[in-house]
Order: sequence, then structure tokens, then C-alpha cells
Amino acid sequence: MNLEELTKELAVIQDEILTKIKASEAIPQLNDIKVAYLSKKGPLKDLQTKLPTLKPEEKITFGQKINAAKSTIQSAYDKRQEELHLQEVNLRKDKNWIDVTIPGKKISIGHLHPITQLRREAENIFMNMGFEIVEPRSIDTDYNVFEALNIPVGHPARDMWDTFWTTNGYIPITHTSAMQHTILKEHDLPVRAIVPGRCFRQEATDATHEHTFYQIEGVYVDKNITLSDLIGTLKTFLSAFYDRDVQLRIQPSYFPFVEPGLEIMIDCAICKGKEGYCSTCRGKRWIELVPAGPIHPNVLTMAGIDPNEYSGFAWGMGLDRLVMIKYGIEDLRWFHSGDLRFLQQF
Amino acid sequence: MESKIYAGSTAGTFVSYSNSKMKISQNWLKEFTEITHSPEEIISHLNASLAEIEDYYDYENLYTGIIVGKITGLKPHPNADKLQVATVTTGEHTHTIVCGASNISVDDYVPVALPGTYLSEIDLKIESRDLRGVTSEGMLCSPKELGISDDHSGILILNDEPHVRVGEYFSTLVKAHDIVYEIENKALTHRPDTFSHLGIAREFSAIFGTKFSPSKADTKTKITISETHPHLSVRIENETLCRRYTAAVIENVTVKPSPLWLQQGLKSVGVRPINNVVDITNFVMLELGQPLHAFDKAKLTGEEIIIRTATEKEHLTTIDGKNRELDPSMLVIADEKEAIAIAGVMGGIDTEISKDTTTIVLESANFEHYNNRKTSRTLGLQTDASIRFSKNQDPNNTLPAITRALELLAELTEGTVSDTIIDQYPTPREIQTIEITADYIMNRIGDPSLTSEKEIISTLKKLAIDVTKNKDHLVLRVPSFRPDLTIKADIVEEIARLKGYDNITLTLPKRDLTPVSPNDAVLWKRAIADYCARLGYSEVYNYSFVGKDLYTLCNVESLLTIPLANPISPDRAFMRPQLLPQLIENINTNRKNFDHAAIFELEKRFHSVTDDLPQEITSLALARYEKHQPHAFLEIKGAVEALVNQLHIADVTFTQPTDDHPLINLFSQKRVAEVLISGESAGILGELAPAIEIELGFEGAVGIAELNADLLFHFTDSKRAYSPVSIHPELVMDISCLVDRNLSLDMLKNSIERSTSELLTSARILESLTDAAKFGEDRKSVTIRLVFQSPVRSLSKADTANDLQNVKTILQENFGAEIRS
Repeated sequence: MNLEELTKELAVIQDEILTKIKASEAIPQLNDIKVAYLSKKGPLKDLQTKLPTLKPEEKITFGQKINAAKSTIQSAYDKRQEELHLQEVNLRKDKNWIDVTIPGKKISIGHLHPITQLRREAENIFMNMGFEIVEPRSIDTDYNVFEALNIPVGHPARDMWDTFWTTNGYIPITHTSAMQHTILKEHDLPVRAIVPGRCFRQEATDATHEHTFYQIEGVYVDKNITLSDLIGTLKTFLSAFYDRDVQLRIQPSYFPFVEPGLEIMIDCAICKGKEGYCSTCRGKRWIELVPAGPIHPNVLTMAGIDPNEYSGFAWGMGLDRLVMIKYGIEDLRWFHSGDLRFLQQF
Repeated sequence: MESKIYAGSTAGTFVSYSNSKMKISQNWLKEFTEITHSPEEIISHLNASLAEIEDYYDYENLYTGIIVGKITGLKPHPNADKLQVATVTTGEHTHTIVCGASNISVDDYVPVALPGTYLSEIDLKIESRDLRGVTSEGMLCSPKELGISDDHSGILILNDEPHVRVGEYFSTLVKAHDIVYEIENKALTHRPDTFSHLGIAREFSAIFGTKFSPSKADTKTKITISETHPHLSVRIENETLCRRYTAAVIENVTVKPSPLWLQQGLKSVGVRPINNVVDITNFVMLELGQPLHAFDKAKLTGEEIIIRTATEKEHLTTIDGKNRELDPSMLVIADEKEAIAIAGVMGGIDTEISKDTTTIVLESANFEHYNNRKTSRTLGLQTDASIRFSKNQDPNNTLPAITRALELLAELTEGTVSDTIIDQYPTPREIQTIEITADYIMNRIGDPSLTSEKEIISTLKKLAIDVTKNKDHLVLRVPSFRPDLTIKADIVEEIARLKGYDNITLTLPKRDLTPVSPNDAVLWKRAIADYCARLGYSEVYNYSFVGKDLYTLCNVESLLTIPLANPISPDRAFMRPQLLPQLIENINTNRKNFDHAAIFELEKRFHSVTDDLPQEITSLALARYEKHQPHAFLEIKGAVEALVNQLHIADVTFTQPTDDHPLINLFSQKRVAEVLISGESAGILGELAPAIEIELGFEGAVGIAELNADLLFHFTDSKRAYSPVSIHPELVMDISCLVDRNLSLDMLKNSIERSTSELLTSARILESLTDAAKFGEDRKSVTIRLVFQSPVRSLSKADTANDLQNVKTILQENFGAEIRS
């Protein structure tokens, strides 16, 4: 074939390809067309194999023509590919319409009990302050619950606790202080420990009374530990826990295992002392939170510690109370309701 | 430790609300010390240094508008038979008052409510008004209308009141203007002296630095103290329980209502007036803290008072009308014949004072506090006397109290007081001595700037402690009414509280930098709870107490082995042996509001041990409810598998539990598996038993599990080894075979894994099907997916041929499998 014929054929092939490109309706189809025409066995390659039959100058001319045709096809391909891509994007865009204001799919997440959460917070602060965590028994002996705490059988202070008894004479612990004697006896001095635990008192349950409640006991024994250390330690903890400079007010109280006995109160952050009734502090502006005191020398002696050499302090704070204040929970009974409507809020 | 708020402990079942509060009259305190501060200041200082003042009542406006008048004329009402018209003078004015009562006469002193007065007791505003043609300019009042008593039979006649005067305010006559403070006395359990106005006044003077004059309670009457008396003898049989017995005889008494000032004084602090004799005993108790008791001497058999323990099953009807059975641990007061009082608790009804009483025996005794408390508790009988005696009253107080009472009895009953008082005091209480230094006190408080030696000495003296200096030592002699002061720490308390704890400069203990040793069990329980929450389970707290009804419903009532002696209610009568029954209850609560619920609890369960404390096991229970699903077995098992996997517990297998598993009745027979860790039973899981589902009306599926969390902790492996991820492709092959229906697939899988090369990275059970027609009754079809992979190269089928053959051999030879493909 001469140059003219070849040129003619090239034009036919080019038109044919361009028509097919234009007619293509999807990117895979378009790619197939391109592969079919540009591949080793495609019509353009076929024309190229005829190049040696031409004269040298014609070779150059025809070579240029083939390249021009390829370039035209490539442009058409690129253009069509862009068109088809856009077309598909637009198509999906429409297909993907959603009312973005409908709520997302409900996913069930497990919640930890609010008392668990705040107990951990308190534990972490105390650990940072150097206290180790000790777990109490839930049922203990009269000796650990009362006698070793300087409350012998028949002591009038026993009236202060409404105690449960099992039929064989053991006590579901009335306070986490039941661990004090064991800790003092078994741990090396100095002792710094907290005892978070579940406690029990024999009283009817209502919004503000529970027979099952939670305490965090604290015990600190070393040389030269003072009353001011006790108050300073609790103020440091409470300020860290509530993340503010908590103000304390202290009342004398009486617990046979400390001397003196203190009732530590904090300023009510709910009403901030403003006029009007406050359900958290009951209008008193101060909330009783931590009974505490220097450990009674008899308690140290009973645990084999010389009270002339060592001194210490202990407290038992109510964890339920901390949680109630933090979240403004009005009724203690929610804690043991097992009701997910309550639990899922934390 | 105790806190009123967190334990919410004010209302015990035994100690009543009112018994933990004590009312203190400011007028009464003023008898012994000066009071110039406002109630707010007083409350703030008492709160800081003594005990919490719960509340106070201001009686300034009590009886406002009531004036003492005298009837000067009395005539019948012209238009009404039942009415009289009285002319009443109130000094400067004369009033015409119409009156319906018939107990008035000319010259009577009466309380007059003038127009404008509001009588709150009967909610009536007095106005001048026309009563059948006569204008009545006020009202004459009955005791009930004034709120003095329930007596509405006539007008209150004031003729016998001492110092009664026309035109005087009625409130002045009865000394009604007062402020009454209510003290929370739980914090004063160790302070017997504060259960009296005298004791509070002493505290008051120490707090405010005012003068204290106890002498106003002293008697002027001359008396002789003797161990014998012509008409009465006393014999103490038990000197441990009765530390002192002081008694007197008063003859020719007239029993009648007390004068109004005394009635008002008792009423203001919450004590009901009865008659002059009883009122005086109460008055002296409230003033000095010493309980007294008066017997009608005519009702006694013989002339001997015997203080002895009760005999077996001895009975006594106490003045509240209850017949009480006593036991030999209890101390009684007896005459020759029988018990006449429970010592320090309550008197007997047969010897109580009545309006016919003419001769009384007055007891002022001291009883040992532990025994008194025990008796009071055993009988469920707490009285003003037992509240005081159980705090360890001062035996040296019996004489001042009885002489004070005798003086009042002579004055108010017109009785003849015998000049001899019998007093038996076998072992007088010794004075305690404490040696201390000011430095010691300051060091224990930890604030050297808080006080000085001089101030310490003056404070202690205010508390009636005798202080002498011996070089740098202070030698303290503690009065017998302060049994709480025995050691140095007690003295530190006195100084610290009277200075005010709020005034102490705060410090922190000094400690080294040694890190805290973590409590692995605590941190690990946190991890378990966190994993459960991540798996979608929410944490519940249930009581440690359970009831028979729930356990019967769950068919596991035989597990209840630790009953409480004093449960709060039948549904809280046992320590719980398992957690699951309550979780089933929780699901039942929540299914009203949720179609899906997943909960867990991590707490203790209890198991009785012979002659020892119960065993406490930390238990993990899980439950899930799916209203719209037929089954929940694989979900609950999946959760348990994920959990043990997260906890890095190896060798966990699941097997059909035996019929005697303690929890088997909770589960659906065909859908229950026991969890074994290294062959040890660690728990059970499955679907809820249909019987329970039907009983509770459940729809859908409930999956439950309870695991021994202590055992999980024991088997957990905190070391986590990393294995590199291979970049070479996996070769996957599935084998299906028929095996015995009861074959454990865990066992099958473990055998396969043990008998193949390291190229087998996992053998996973894809399905387990039963079809009696296709596979036979006792066979199941199991499909196992074998995954091969090398960390260093791509594998060909030839590489796995050996392993594949091994697997087939094991299936056939060890498990009798018929390979299907």
C-alpha cells in the first residue's frame, strides 16, 4: 500500500475509534476500546507494521500521522473518561441521598456503675498520695468489727451501729474500719492504706437511708503523725477529688477507735451558701462527709504497735455520699435498682 | 466509722429518733452561767467544740397577749343559762368577759386572752364580740386552750402559783420565755456529764470563758448520811452492778400537779409533766444528770430495799403497763417479796406514785453501764434513765441529786423529809491522775502556735480538772464525772476541741518517695469490668442479701445456707450464694423499657464453712436479653470467650455440665455449658431455663453466665508475647466429617492443634449440624477450617499434605470420624 492508501485507512480507523469512544457508556467499556485499538494486535499496530514498505521520507510523514492519530485518540479517551467519571459520581451522589437529620444507628455501649467510676477516681488520687489499696472482707468477726477497735462487748458506743448478724455470730461489716486491725498488725510500718468496700447496717431503706452502702477507709501510721496532718491530708484529697479548693469545717464527734473523734464537713458547692433551701446540704451550707480522728492508742496497742513511738490517723468516708453530691442524685435506692435507665446515664 | 449522712444512720430500729437528740433550755443554763451571745453564735461555738446542735426553738412569743387577771365580779348571763359574765381586772383595766366554764369564783386568778391575741393551740383570734347581748372583751383560758395540757374541763386557776400577781404576763409567771437547743447526743456517748443542764453549762463556760456557778443547785437543807434508817434498810447484793444506792423517806406528801413553772420547764425540753413527785425526779435528772426514782412506800412489802439480780423467769409489770419477763443477768430493785423496778431502766406499776400516795422512798443510785445497756437492749426498753446510766454516770452524783430533790419535795409536796439519808457506797470511785506536758499536747496537735501552757492550764481548770505543775509536767486530777478522760490523748482532745479544730494550721505528713505497691487484684478487677463494658454489658450493683422467694423461683433454694439473725425483711434474709438470680431479676425489671439489655455484676458471693467465717468468692455474672431473638447461647458464650481471651487465660474449654452442678436448674437443659480452665470448673453459661422464663413471662432469649472471678485471676497471664504477622499468603482448607454428637469440639480442636506442625496457624470450627435423617441420631456433621501459613515463604499444597493427613488420621482414629470432604 502506498502512503495515500495508508493515510486513508488510518483516517477510517481513527474515525471508527473516536465513534466508539464517544459511544462508550462506562469506564470499563472505554478501557476495553482503548486496549482493543492500541494493543499489539490492534489496527494501529497493524498499520505500523506496514511502515517498512514506504519510502524513507514517507516513513517519516506516515509515522507522524500515526502519532497524531494516537494523540487525537488519547485526548478523546481522556475526555470521555472524565465525562464518564463525572457521570458516575453524579449518579452515586443522587443515589446516596440521605436525610442527614435522622438519628444514627443505636449502638449498645456498656456502662460502669457510677460508684465504681468514682471509687476508681478516689483510689487513684490516694494511690498518687502514697496509699496502697486493701480490700476488706464482707463478713467479719465481732473482734475485727468492734473489739479490736476499742469497742468491747456491751460498750454503749455499739448503739451507734445498727449491726446485722449471721445466725452463727458473724457480722456483715458495719464499716470498712473492720480491716484496720488486720492492716495495722500485718503491714510493715509506716502504714498508708485505703480500704474501699461495701458495708451493711440494719436499717430500713428510703431515699436517704440504705442498709447497703460504700465506704473508703483510710489508715496512716508513722512516727510523729499529728492531728494537723490528718486534716491536711483530707483537705488535699477532697480538693483533688472535687477539683477545687474545698473548705473544711470540723465538729467534735465520738468514735471509740479514734481520739479525738472528728466529723469533717465540706462547704456545699451546690448552693454555695446562697439563701434558699438546698436539697444537698439541707440548708446547712456544710455537708458532713468524713468521720475521722487520730487512732486511739488502745487500737495501736492491740495491733502490737507502741503508741509512745508511733501515732496515726484514720477516717471512713462515705462513697455513696460523694457520688450523690457529684451527680445530684436524690435517692440512694437507684444505686441498687439494676435499672438501665439510671445506669446508662454514667 | 460512723457518719450520720453517708450511713444515714439517725433512725435506727432500736434507738428512736428522739432518743438521739437532747433538748437544752437556755433559761436553765443561765442558772449556772452567764449567757450573752446570740443563738447563732452559741450554735456555731457549740458545734465547733462540743457536738452538733441540730436546731433551736425560740419561745419568745409563747403566750403573747395572755395576762394574769383577777375575777372581781361574777353574775349569770341574762340570756343564756350555761354562761356567766365575769368582771376581770388586769390592773389598770377592767374587762367584761363571758365565760362558759363553771369552775371560777370571785377572787380567782385566771389567764386572760385580750382582744388581738392569737391562740395557736386552737387557731383562734380573740376579738371583742357580742355573745347573746353581752359584749365579751376577751376570753378566760383553759389549760388546753393555752397548750399546757389536754385538760379542757374548766378555766386554769392560778391561785396556788407562787408569786402570782395581777397584770403580770402569763409567760413571765410560768417562765416561758426561753430558747431551747436540740443537741445530737450520739457524739456524746462518752460524756455522761453532758446529759444534764449543769454539764452543758460547764462546757458552755469553758467554751465562752464565762463564769460557772454550780452552787445554785446546791442544797441548803442540813442532812445526815447514814447506812441505816429507822424505817428503811438497803441491801446491795451485787456490788459490781450497783455501785451506790442512796435513798430517803418522805412522809405526808400531797401528790398533785406541779406548779406551772415546773410543768413549763419540763415541757420546754420535751418531758411530759405527770405529778409533783415524778416531775421533781425528772427535773433533778435533767438538771444534774442523775436519774431518780420514787416508790410509794405503802405499796412495799417490808421495810427493806434489796438490789439483786432477777431470778429465772421473774416477771415485773413496768409503769408502761407491760408485763416483762426478766432473766438473771438483769439487776432489779426488790422488796422482801418481789422485784419492784428494773434497776436504772423503769419502775414497776405496783409501787408507782399515785394521787393517794403519802409516803415515798426516793432512790438515787448508780448502776454499772454495760449491764444497764444490755438489760435495756434485751428488753427493748430505752428510757431517760437508761440513756444516762448506760453512759457511765458518776456515783458521786447521787448525794447532790437526792438532796436537791428533797429540797424541792419539801417545798412542792409539803412532805416531811426525814433528816437521815441512807447511803451505801461500797467502793468509792477513785480520782484519775494524768501526767502530761504542754509540749506533748502541742506536738500531737501538730500546731505549736495554737495555744500555750498558760492557756492549757486555764482551759483545763474551766473543765473542773485540778492542775498542778511539777517541773515541766502538769499533773491533772480528773473529776469523777469525766470517766472519758483516762489517757494523754483524751487531754489533747480537750485542748484541741476547745480551741476549735478549724483553727489548727494544716500540715501534710512527710514521707519518702517509695512508690505505692499496686494491688493486683484491685487493678485486675478494674480490667474485668472494663472488658465487660467494652463488650456492651453495663454494670449493676445488687444487694448481698437475698430472699427465699427468688431462690425458690429459680429452683436453687438449697444454696441458701447463711441466714441473717436480724434481716431487714424476708427478701433480704440470707447472704447470697450466687449473683445470677438477682441478674435475672434485673433483666425482668429492664425488659419493660428495653428490647435488648446486657448487664454484669462483679461482687462477692458467700459459702458457709463449718466453725469459721464464710468463704467469700468474687463472682462475675453476666446476663443478656434479646426480645426479638430466639436464642442467646452463642452471644453469651462469645462474650465469655472474648473476656477470657482478653485476660490471656489459656486452656479454656466448654463442656456439658453434670446434673448435680449447683446452678444447673437456672439453665435450659440443652443449652448450658460448664467453663473449664485447665480442667478446673470456673463457671457456667447458657440460656435461661424455660421454667423460669415462663414463670416470669419472658419473650425472646436470655443468656446468662456466672464465673469465679478469683479463679480467672489465678489463671490470668499478664505476660503478653508478640508474634510477628506473616506477609505470606494463607492456605485455607475445610474438612467436613461426621462425629459422635456428644464429642467436645474443644477437645477435637485441641487434638488437631497438638498433632500438626507449626505451619497450621489455626483450626476453627465453622459449623456443627445435626440431622437425624442425614447423619443418624447420634452423629453430628462438623466443618473445620484449617489455616496454614509460613512466616518465611509462600506455601504450596504439597507443604501441607503431611499435616492434612495427620488431621484426617486423628479424626478417624481418635474420634471415629467419617470424613465427608
